[in-house]
Amino acid sequence: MTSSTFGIGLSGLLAAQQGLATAGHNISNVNTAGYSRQLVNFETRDPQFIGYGYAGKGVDVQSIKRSANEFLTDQLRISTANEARAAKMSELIDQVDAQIGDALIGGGLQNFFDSLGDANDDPRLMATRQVLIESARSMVARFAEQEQQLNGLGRSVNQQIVGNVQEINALTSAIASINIDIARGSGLATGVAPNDLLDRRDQLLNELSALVGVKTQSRADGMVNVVLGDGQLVVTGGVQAALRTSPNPLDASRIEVSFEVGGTTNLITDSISGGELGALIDFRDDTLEPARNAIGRLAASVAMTLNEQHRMGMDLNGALGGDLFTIPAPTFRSPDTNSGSITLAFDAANVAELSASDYRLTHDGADFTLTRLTDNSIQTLSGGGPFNVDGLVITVSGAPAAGDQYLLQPTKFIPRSMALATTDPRHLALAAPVATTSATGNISAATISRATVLDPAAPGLLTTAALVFSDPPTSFQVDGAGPLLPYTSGADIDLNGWRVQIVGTPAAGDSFVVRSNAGGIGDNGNGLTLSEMQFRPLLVGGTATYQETYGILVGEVGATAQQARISEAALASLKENAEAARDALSGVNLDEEAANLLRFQQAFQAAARVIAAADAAFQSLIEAARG
Amino acid sequence: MRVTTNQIYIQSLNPIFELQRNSVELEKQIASGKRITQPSDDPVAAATVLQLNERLKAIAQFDRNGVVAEQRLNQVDDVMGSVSNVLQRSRELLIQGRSEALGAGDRRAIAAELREQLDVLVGLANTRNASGEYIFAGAAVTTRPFTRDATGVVAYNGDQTVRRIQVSESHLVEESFSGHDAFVAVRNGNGTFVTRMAPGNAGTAQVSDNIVRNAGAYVAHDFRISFTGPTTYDVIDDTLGTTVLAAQTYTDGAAIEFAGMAITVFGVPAAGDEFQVEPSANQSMFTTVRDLASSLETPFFDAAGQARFGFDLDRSIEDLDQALEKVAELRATTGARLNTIDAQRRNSEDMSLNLQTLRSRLEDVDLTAAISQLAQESTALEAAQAAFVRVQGLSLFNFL
Repeated sequence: MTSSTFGIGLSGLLAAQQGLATAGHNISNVNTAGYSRQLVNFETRDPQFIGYGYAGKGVDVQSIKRSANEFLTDQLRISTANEARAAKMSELIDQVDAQIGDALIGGGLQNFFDSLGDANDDPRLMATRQVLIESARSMVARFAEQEQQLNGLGRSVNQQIVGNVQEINALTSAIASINIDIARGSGLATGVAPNDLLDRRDQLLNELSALVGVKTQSRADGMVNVVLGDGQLVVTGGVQAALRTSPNPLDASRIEVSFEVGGTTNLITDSISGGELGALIDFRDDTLEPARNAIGRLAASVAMTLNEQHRMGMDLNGALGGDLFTIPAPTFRSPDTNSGSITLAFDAANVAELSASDYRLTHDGADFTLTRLTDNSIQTLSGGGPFNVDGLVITVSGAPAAGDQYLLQPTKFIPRSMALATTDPRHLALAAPVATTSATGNISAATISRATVLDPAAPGLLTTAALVFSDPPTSFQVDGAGPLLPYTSGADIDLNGWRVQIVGTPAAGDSFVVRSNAGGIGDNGNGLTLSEMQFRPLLVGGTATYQETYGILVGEVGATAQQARISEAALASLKENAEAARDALSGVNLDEEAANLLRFQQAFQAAARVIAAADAAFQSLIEAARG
Repeated sequence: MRVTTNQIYIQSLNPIFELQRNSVELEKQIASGKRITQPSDDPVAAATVLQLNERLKAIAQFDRNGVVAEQRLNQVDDVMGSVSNVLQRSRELLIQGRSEALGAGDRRAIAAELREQLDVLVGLANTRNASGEYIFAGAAVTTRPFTRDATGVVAYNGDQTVRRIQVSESHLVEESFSGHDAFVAVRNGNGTFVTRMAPGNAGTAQVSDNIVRNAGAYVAHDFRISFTGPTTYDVIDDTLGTTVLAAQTYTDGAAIEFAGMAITVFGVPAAGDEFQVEPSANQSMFTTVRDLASSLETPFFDAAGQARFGFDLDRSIEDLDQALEKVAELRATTGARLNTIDAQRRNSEDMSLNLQTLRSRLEDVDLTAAISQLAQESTALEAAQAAFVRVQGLSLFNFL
């Protein structure tokens, strides 16, 4: 009987020891990320039948289980991926927001038009002209600076994508190797889980989720498969398949993520979502590139529209104005495999139609298909072209064949190469090129308006033309010869590329002269028209001024940034909830463990007492036998 | 729900982070005075503020332009005032010179003063502005607009383009007049027609008044009143080559009326005397003053000569009155432009104030609210920190 008491006491001692050890393990891992607290389960030993009944034989440690729930772990993993994406997104957009909010370009535009206003007050003064040149130069520089800032951000995004992919590969490698450890564990076959290894794998999966959205598949052998994007198996049991990064074949400035399956490398950038990597890719596609395009579009539009008007003016030397700015041709990229080729140009007559989008142009053997990438709208371009689309002119050459493809990036790189074309203050064409006068000998008080230029390239624009009224003065002739042109007071008279109106009742012989304004160095006719352009809705389909176009960009980026901030806060709180739910089940509470320590310590002491009692009984028996 | 040690830690720490973030944000707002430090703080307001800033800067530019235009128009008005004085003085000299009590020498002395007035007038017409530009040269601002040749004829060398200044988004103001418009394009005669005495007139008939009786009936043709004898005359339309009135009886001092005009002739005409009637044309102020001086310098020896002298002086009065009217008209225009600028300035001051108020409402921080909120946040932060220490101090291990 005493031997069984000894045995029972000993089983209690061992059980309490295990309880103390587990509490100690829990306490030690209170700060270990991903640790699930462990619980010791006890069970009674099989009893012994001894005739009158079954006698208990003490306690056994049945199992040590971790307190974890697969559903809560999954929830945490999903919310971690979401929160990490939102936080990264917010951080990235915030940078664009701060850069654009500096009003670098808005201020540049305003300075230019301010200087133009001053130059119009004193168009002859070299000082005001020089200031205008400098502010035009500064506006160009501000466009370039803004582009550089955004481009720098783009390069940093590329580097982060490379870094993230490296981290992802390290994590998937670690998960594959821990998979092997778990499967190899002898306990698994008997249904005993290697708690700490499972915790570690869950933690690795969680860290992976923060980098990129993944799904897991549990397997019968205790391993998990990890699936990324739209089905890429980056971990298959104990085997890891690494992601790769490489420059985009059409646009080397873009880093793409690729995945190799059966010897074929596929670009999977677009299918990646969630986590920091998802944020980097979405940010690049949805915010950064559109912002760069929008800045480029504004630069191209400002340059082209101001150029057009500047060419309609006359400079201090009496020559017609040239371009104020130079901008490069719109950029497109094509692989070497294309059969045909294209050239791309801006459609100067339809600047308002320019969009802030990139395009994909493909050929199916018969027609071209143009896809605008911001809204995926598709246009079919049939025939041989040239095609005027969205403020661009696409001219086809060679023999296009099925499979030909092009990436059009019309506006993105404009600010980088934009330059000032007119650098000599004398060459600023602030004067109107054509002046009108009424002859001193005119009998009537009829007046002639200022001339507006319809076509600066018209050959006779600067040729002197006298509009001489015949008798009766209901018609006039040019230079007193040629056909009689009927006269209506106030009607447009278009000739030689200019337009004037004569108002009043002219007398026979009255003469009105339209001539080159060379010498009219104090005139600001064209300068005023240039200045008015700041208030004209010239862009975005004729709905927005320069500043408004910039304002739209600022508003859009601001709204995106605000949205990102809000969703960051919301997703952070969801993640906190998921963490709290997991912690509530799996987390260690030191007070609880302190209580467990006390409990098992007391159990240990009591079990020791049982042994002492058995010993005492045994001693009594010995004493009795001796006596 | 079980609460774990980690949860207690995180949940005490999170509010501290949150409160610190808020405090930093508020500090930033208070320091800058702006509620919006970057567009995402309020995207709609940020975009609006950009537009407002642009409008405000444009208004400031228009104000600067207005000051320039005002200064230049004031100078034009000053010059026109002086021109008016010259013309008035010329008219006084004319009245003085007409007196029958004067001899040829006296008239020459008056003519000499008129020549001086002519110099002053040319000087005024060649006025330059602060930038050294001729203000009446049109756009040819560096070309001396009025020059005199050896015979004293004043020519205009400028053009007819007048510089405009933008004083509001929709309003351009011309900053001066071209020399052509100001000094050259003055109608002669009565503004509609002018009478001339034929060079060979031998009688003493002169024209006193030229009046447009019926503007609707007026025909801008060249006419001729031709005396066939001391008491009879014909009126001939030289443009058409037709006779309008034939064999009319002449009454001394009565108006001869045709084609809407009434021309009062007095004195005794000789047979063959003629008066031409032509539509008015442009005659510069310089020509007007110069012609007057010439008339005074030309001596006369008989009644016919005296009649021609009287006729010429009457025509000069007409021309001078036209010139004075022109100057008055230019000054009225100048005044109207100055008023426009003034009205525009008041308008833009109001608008500027409105826009600034709006901008302030959009982007400025309410300091009182922000500071009291910061105080609240600070109190809450202290409380959260105290709570953290208190909660972290609670552990069963303290009692083991």
